Amino acid sequence: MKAPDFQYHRPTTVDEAIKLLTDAGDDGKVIAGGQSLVPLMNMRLAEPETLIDLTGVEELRSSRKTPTGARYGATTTHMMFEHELVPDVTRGLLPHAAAGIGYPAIRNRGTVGGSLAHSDSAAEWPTVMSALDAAVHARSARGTRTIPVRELLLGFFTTVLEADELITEVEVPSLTPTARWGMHKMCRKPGEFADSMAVARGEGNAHGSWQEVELWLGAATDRPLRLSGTEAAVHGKSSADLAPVRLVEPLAADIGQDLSAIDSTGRHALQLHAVTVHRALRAAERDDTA
Amino acid sequence: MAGRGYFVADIQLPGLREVAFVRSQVAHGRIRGISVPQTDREAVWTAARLGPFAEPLTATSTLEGFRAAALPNLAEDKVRYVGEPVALAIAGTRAEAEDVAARVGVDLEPLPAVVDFAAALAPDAPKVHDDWPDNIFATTAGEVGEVDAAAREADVTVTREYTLHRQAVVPLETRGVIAHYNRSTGELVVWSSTQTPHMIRDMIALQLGMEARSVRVIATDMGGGFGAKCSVYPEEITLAAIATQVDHPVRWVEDRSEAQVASTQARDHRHRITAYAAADGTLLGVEADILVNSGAYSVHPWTATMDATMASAMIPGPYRLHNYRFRTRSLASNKTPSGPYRGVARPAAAFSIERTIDELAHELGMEPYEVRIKNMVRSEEMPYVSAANKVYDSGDYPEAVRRATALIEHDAWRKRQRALPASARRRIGIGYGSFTEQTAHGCLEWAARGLAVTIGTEGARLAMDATGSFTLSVGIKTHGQGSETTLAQVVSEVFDVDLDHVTVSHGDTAMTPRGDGTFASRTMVMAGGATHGAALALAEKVKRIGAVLLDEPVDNTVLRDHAVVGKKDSVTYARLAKEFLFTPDHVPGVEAGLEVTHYYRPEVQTGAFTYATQVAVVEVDLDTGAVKLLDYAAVEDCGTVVNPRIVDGQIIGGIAQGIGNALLEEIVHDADGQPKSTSFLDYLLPGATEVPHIKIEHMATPSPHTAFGVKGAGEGGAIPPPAAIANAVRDALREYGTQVNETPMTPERVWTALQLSATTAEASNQATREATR
Repeated sequence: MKAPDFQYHRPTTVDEAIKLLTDAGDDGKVIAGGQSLVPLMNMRLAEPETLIDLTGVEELRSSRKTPTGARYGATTTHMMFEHELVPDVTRGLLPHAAAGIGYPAIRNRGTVGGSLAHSDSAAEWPTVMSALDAAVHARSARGTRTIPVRELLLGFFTTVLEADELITEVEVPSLTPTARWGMHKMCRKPGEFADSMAVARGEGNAHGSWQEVELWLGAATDRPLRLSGTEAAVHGKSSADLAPVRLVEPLAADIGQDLSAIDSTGRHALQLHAVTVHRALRAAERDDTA
Repeated sequence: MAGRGYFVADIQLPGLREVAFVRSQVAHGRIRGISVPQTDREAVWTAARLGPFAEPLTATSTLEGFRAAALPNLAEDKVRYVGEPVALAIAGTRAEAEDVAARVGVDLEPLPAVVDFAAALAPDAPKVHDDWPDNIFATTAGEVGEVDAAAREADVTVTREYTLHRQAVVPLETRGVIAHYNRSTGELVVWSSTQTPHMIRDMIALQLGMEARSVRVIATDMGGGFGAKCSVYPEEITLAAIATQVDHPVRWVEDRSEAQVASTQARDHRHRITAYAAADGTLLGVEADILVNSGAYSVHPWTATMDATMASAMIPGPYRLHNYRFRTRSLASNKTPSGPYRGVARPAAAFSIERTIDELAHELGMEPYEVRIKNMVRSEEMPYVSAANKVYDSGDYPEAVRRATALIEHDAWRKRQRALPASARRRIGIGYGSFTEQTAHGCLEWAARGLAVTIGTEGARLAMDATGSFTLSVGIKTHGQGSETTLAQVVSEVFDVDLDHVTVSHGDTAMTPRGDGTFASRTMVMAGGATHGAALALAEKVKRIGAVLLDEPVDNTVLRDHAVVGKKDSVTYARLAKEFLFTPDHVPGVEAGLEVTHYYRPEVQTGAFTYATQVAVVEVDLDTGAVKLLDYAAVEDCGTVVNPRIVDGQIIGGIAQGIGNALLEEIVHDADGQPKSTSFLDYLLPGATEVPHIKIEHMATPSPHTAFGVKGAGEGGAIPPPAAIANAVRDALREYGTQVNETPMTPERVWTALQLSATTAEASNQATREATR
């Protein structure tokens, strides 16, 4: 499978990129790492007429700390997070998540902005950035705006971004020094997309039970899901008090699944989500992934 | 790894144009019409345009009642699987060819698809081939001994149904073909990534109506084959035919998503096995009902019954089984045609008998390895004629099991298994898989299986040139096995020369003597046998030349260290060859020519039987159903080991593929016959993280039937892993009585089976409690 013909541009400034994107209209597409877009183009599932390659725009690859967190240029690669070539304000969650993405060759090219704009809920960044309540800064010829990641992602391959709009930065708020987090990715073999992915975050757990916990689940529906019902079931308990099986019912409710009508494939998928959430909680309690 | 491989995709030819195929997107449909835009007419070929230049190939069988159907080069009236070639487009680049292909309109009337075993056998099933009464290529059956008497005598009987789902073969280099008709010489040259260049040449000539002298097939470097590249494919015939009609060479390189539907696939077996045993574990009888879903067409030369007949022949395994009854049915379906894949049916046969041996052991409260040792053919019984009339030639089967228990440290693992607390959310299991494998069989064996081409000979030509170095030309085609090394070792053994003075030429039909190719674990035995014959004959002549030059009797000469050495003096091969070839008059009394061609045909045609026992130790996650390999060992006997590193490589590679078969790989189809695993996103392959360190021990009992006593070693590694791993998972979950009867053992299958058995066990415990209250 080879991609159909397309126009290729490699601008060096954001202004130039925005102008090209505006001119290209609906048939333009931004490319950075290309780790999802290129296969889609080769399979002719995506046939953009114009590609605007952002890897020549230096300002999109710069990152800095801010008083409240950090801002990462949109084309910061997974590898740069993994090896902490950019500041980490999440007590290790960002490097941990990045290290689980695909294989080294993918991490060397794939970018954080690209992953968020691609919006695949089985990928790491949508769920992790949702859990961290990160926001993207987007620019178009009409100006700039800030969009919380929780509002950015609408579904598979669908975001609130307009066709002429470009993510320029991802802003991540700092975790407090007492914050705990746990992440678990369930997949058949290392490097694959997740069958399930959970992030648990909360504040210090002095009595061994969760008083304040936020649970996020990826790969279950078309976008990362906040598990409020499951959070309630976890409240006041620790993972040791909870077998994964006890999370199945609240999880099904959070995902919107009818347990009485589920087939064996769906039931196993739900089981994996319950185990994944449980393992994320356990990791957060141990605080050993930080 | 030097990165110097030269593959079909790397070849550069002046004027070369690229081909993209239009393939069926539906599993079953009637073609109402194919539309090609006026401007693309020159670039596009359909069945109607191709028809006058190439006949479709019918892979028939001599088995009674076999139903034949031609494998179309391009589909004409019906399409019968997703991926079947319907048309092709030619352009300057592959991308442009795909543009043209996308403009070809295929008007199809969709038909209901025949997908699984039950659907194929249903009385009202749609017919894959309209003129057949049903969807069965052929049925075979047989009985040895008295199974019913064994059943009456038995203390235990177990019946199980096992399913090995469909797999893709996945050589990392996909297939590829270039065809070029040289108008000045009248020669049609076809480059193909094929395991069988001579066979491809014959069939291209026959299907194109040409004399084979005008057809040359070249297989360059290959990135694996594993059986996916040893059938004759429509793409090879089609490109060859088109090349004769256009004024430029054409190339097609299969891409990965094509390979997942258009290259032959494998497994798709369902066996129902009933075994009868005495209370002491003696196996009394076995019944096997074998179904193989062979896909839409029978492929040349293997035919659609290859897997089923091999399965029925190998279910008796390495055991002393006197009462055996079988029936096989090879089914046609709307799936990709099945072809050979490393192990051919034996992974399924081993799964059936080995899982069943474990079930008997569990029923009898014995260690499964003890039941194996008890029933295996013993070394003093060799040669042993099996229930399926196979002649097991040599070896000590029970000893392989004993050594495997030691190599894996069976007792230590049993201790670790028992030490796990009941509250742990994981379990450990140990499982064994034994097999015996017919390698390098001769003509009679293939004839017995109904093949129209009864493969069984192999040629080698060995030449010494004027500098005293050697060129060995062979008809096999090494595609990653290292036969350049192992065959050169044979020459080295006879002539006492270093390997770097021997070139092994293979893959080009114009430069090699006729041979059948590399498959069926046959190369070392067959091409090794041919090489040995050629080397002995040439050595005899070289010694005679040496004797003349040294002026000593031939009997006084030996071949040592690149020279003919006499009692008084010696002459190097370099000087000898120069004397003989530049100045033959210096060597009176020796006939001209310094090369020998030898054809090998084994005197005993029943093959050399490699055997092994493999052991897997697994950890099963009770919460997810995930299976992880903790340890793995193999004790094998492939006769005389020619090159230990190459044999170990074959074993490790085979086990890796067997792990894929056991745990990961499956071509899933939906109810409409649409394959859902056409990329590596959905079709998982074993990688470095899934293959544990593998402990290997060799036994090396020579075969009495082959040169040097070698046996084939190419496939064995891949045969028992599904059985060993399934037995280990079954062992891990014994407290729940979980049945593990399907591959791949995905987390979903294992967890679902565990839930089912746990519920059943709970209900039965409840009933027991109530009954005893």
